[in-house]
Amino acid sequence: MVPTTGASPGFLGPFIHAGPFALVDVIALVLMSVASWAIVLRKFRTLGRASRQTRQFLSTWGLRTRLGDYEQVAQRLRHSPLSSLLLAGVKEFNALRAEFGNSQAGPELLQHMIPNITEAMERAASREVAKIEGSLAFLSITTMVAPFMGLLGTVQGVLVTFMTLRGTQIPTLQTIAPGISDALITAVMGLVVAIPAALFYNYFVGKAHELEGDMERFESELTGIMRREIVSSQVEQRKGQ
Amino acid sequence: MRRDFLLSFAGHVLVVGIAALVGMSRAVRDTRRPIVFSVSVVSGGGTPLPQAGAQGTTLVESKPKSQAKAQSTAQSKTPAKGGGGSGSGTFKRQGLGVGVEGAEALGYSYYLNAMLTRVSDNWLNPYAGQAKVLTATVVFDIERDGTVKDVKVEKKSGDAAYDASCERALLVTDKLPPLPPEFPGPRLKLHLEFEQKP
Repeated sequence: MVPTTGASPGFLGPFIHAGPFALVDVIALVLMSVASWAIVLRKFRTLGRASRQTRQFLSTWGLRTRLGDYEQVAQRLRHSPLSSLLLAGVKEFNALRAEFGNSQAGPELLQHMIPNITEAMERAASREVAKIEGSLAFLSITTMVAPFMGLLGTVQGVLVTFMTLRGTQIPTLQTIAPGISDALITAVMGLVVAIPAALFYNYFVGKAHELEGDMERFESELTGIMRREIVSSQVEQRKGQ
Repeated sequence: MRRDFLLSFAGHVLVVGIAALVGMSRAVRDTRRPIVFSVSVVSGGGTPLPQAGAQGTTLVESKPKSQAKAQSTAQSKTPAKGGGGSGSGTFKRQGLGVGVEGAEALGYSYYLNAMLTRVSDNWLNPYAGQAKVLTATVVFDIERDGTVKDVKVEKKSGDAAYDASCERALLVTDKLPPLPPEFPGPRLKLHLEFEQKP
């Protein structure tokens, strides 16, 4: 191993001196970094919009006791997961009402069908959760794997450095240091890739949990409103009699 | 998603480009330890200066110093390449393989020889030819381009005029030939011992 001369290697020096193994490692890490940052950018946009619109949705919905102009609200704030929950629930509710509402025992039958509505909303919710949490798994994988990949490159580089010293009478610091410093670049790369991924993964998981909590609360709120609608239609029916 | 990928890729290219540009424009300071030698210039008795300044020039690789001194009996002698007009200086090496840097530096003895010639030419020993025993050590760095820097009297002889003459030898020398291109260190640190013997 020829020790590097005093000429400063600059930023790209370790990459230029890296062996083929380290190079492949670095390329894989760069690809991971590009993919994870793409996910971060996308999630920032989609999750940011979803939580903003959810806040607006909840403040618009307020203490509403009737479904009222639900379609308008859902249309305006369609990026909020609550909108698809609302649309799925109301669609099921309307379908049931169309089927059983006109009969004599309609309202009572509808009371029994409440679980159907809840299930329809749950299905919508699980679709929304999948959308929210989609590709977060890649960030998690990056967080776990990137440091190990970096470490692998470093260990291999150090191994090669020491193997070249075999048979050398007096191994000097000058002969060991360049090899080791070049080997360390993969560990640095691994951490540079993993740290932002870990940071954003935890941030997005927090956001996703927040949205999931909102969805759960809204689901029970909506079920309550629907019950109320059924009961009030029952009362009106009795009044009519 | 494709747009995000493109954005992310562009961001990476930008970051690498900026880092490479910064790295290229501003040379990263080489913080590696300099390679250290101890060399002593012995002024021979009664010979006029500066021609005979290099007489008895001793190159002592000493790391650690005490160990090198202890091995002074095992010195091997080779004729000096320079050494001024009289040219009868001895060039001695010792401490082979003692220090990490020393083992490598022995390959550059021709450079040290040239350096000693220049320095001893510039040394005006005020006590040349007198029956005085004085030793002063001056420490200095030689940059890769040969510039002499950070000249300091490390070990005083007790005689201010003598110390000043030793320091002045280096200050006057100022520029030495550039370090050999294959020299691994960023700079060469030398402990140069100026010895006055009767």
